[in-house]
Amino acid sequence: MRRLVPPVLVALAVAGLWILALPAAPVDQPIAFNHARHAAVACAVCHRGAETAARAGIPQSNVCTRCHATAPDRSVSARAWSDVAAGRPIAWRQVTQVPEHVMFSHRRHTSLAQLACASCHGDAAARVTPFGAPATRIAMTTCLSCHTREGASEDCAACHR
Amino acid sequence: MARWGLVIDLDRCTGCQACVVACKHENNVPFSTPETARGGRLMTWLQLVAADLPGRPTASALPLMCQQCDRPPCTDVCPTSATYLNPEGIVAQIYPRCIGCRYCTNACPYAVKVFNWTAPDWPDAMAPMRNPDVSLRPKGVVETCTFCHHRLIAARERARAAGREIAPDDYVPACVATCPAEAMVFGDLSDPHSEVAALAGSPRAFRWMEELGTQPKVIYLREGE
Ligand code: HEC
Ligand code: HEC
Ligand code: HEC
Ligand code: HEC
Ligand code: HEC
Repeated sequence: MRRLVPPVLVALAVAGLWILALPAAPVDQPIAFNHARHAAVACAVCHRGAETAARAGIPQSNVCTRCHATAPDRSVSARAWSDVAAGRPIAWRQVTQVPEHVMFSHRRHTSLAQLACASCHGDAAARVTPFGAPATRIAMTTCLSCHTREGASEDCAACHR
Repeated sequence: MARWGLVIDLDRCTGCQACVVACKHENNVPFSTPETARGGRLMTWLQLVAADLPGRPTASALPLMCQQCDRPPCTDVCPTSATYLNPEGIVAQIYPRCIGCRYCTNACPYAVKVFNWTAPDWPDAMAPMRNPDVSLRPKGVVETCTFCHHRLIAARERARAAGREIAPDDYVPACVATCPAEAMVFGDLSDPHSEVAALAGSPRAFRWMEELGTQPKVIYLREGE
């Protein structure tokens, strides 16, 4: 019995570390949205605030039904789409997020600093599956390394509020 | 680089406290009850205090907020540099960096740094009135007036969108914008042509507890001369 305990503990520890090292489980989105199939559409048609406001925004039913009079594809169940057609809110989950104590403005970075969406979000137009997790984790060093490169503010109070 | 400063004319101040309310509202400063106030835990960034000023028969009401010292005693004692003097002379407080030791609240001779003893208690009915440009501070951190620094970032963005440099009227803290008596003037002290720079040179100008050598950038103008 005694001789069994250490190997069991080691196995448990390895299993624990393994689980911790796994990437976080992707977030389920209510509709299997496919960016690549919408690549011809300008980002700002759906993400209305991306060039004009602090928050880009995730489009709701009213935006989808402007183009989709009927359910677009078998990838969306009739039930899920009837909610969209009825104009009920789609419960998208935002995955790219800064904490409450950070101030971030899309307009400042997109239309004013002329940065491409891809510089922070990767190639969104090529995605065939919904964003389950941020394409690139936006950590403080992500912000700071670009700010240093571009000569933008590195003052703590510029980003922290 | 700008050096932001505030001039308060005590001759014009009527003590109406509109600035106190505007500040609370703008900065999501949590509510306090008479009990918490009696316990010395009132949450406010701006308060009217009674001050005995030379040559005045009675105490004057002094609107007192962070004096935005050029030599701030609070930043000297902060063990984590959560509070520091930023390049534009604003004494900032980086909440996620703050460990709540309260050295700064004790070091501040003006007693204007307040500690969050509890998590902010926001009644649901008040939630829509929160300012989205300012965070809600968690329990265990110190907070204080920042000259509404978030308004500076927003002002720079607006000026940039209009393709011009930031102008004096672009950035005004909430208390100044509200003051019905126009007793408060805000601006860049390093600009010799600014109104604040001119007023700061007035013979009526004084700084509160200036003998301590804190070099505040809030400047008061004496009454009745
Ligand atoms: C500007 C017009 C436009 C808007 C707005 C729009 N779509 Fe589409 N969508 C299309 C077009 C065009 C296609 C077909 C593309 C193809 O066949 O390759 C499509 C295809 C789809 C498909 C099928 C994709 C696949 O996997 O085959 C889904 C699902 C879909 N859209 C969902 C949505 C949702 C949800 C919204 C709202 C958030 C939306 N669309 C908004 C134009 C639009
Ligand atoms: C037809 C509408 C539509 C268009 C056009 C569109 N998107 Fe999206 N986007 C969505 C929807 C719906 C979601 C939420 C589901 C998902 O994650 O895919 C989303 C999610 C995202 C997210 C993740 C948001 C989060 O939760 O973190 C990013 C980033 C993004 N889009 C960037 C882009 C960029 C960049 C473009 C232009 C190249 C673009 N999108 C074009 C509809 C659109
Ligand atoms: C400088 C980096 C940067 C650039 C450039 C950028 N984003 Fe973002 N994006 C972010 C960050 C950071 C967040 C998280 C914001 C938050 O939590 O408020 C975000 C969030 C989002 C979201 C989630 C929903 C929301 O309301 O914010 C969408 C959608 C999005 N971005 C789309 C875009 C599109 C489209 C573009 C290009 C027009 C773009 N972004 C350019 C950094 C960037
Ligand atoms: C790819 C480069 C890049 C990344 C990544 C980036 N920024 Fe910026 N940021 C800029 C540039 C360039 C400017 C200056 C814009 C201008 O000139 O108006 C700027 C300006 C700002 C400003 C205004 C500063 C001021 O003094 O007015 C804030 C606040 C800001 N960024 C926050 C952030 C945050 C928070 C992040 C990370 C979530 C971030 N940025 C990530 C390039 C970037
Ligand atoms: C360019 C923008 C930017 C600047 C400048 C900046 N930060 Fe941050 N900071 C962020 C972002 C974004 C996060 C959130 C990162 C995340 O979610 O992992 C953050 C997070 C933090 C955290 C919390 C880390 C945690 O684990 O919760 C601390 C503490 C912090 N910053 C301190 C500072 C200090 C001190 C300075 C000045 C020396 C500073 N920051 C300057 C953008 C910035």
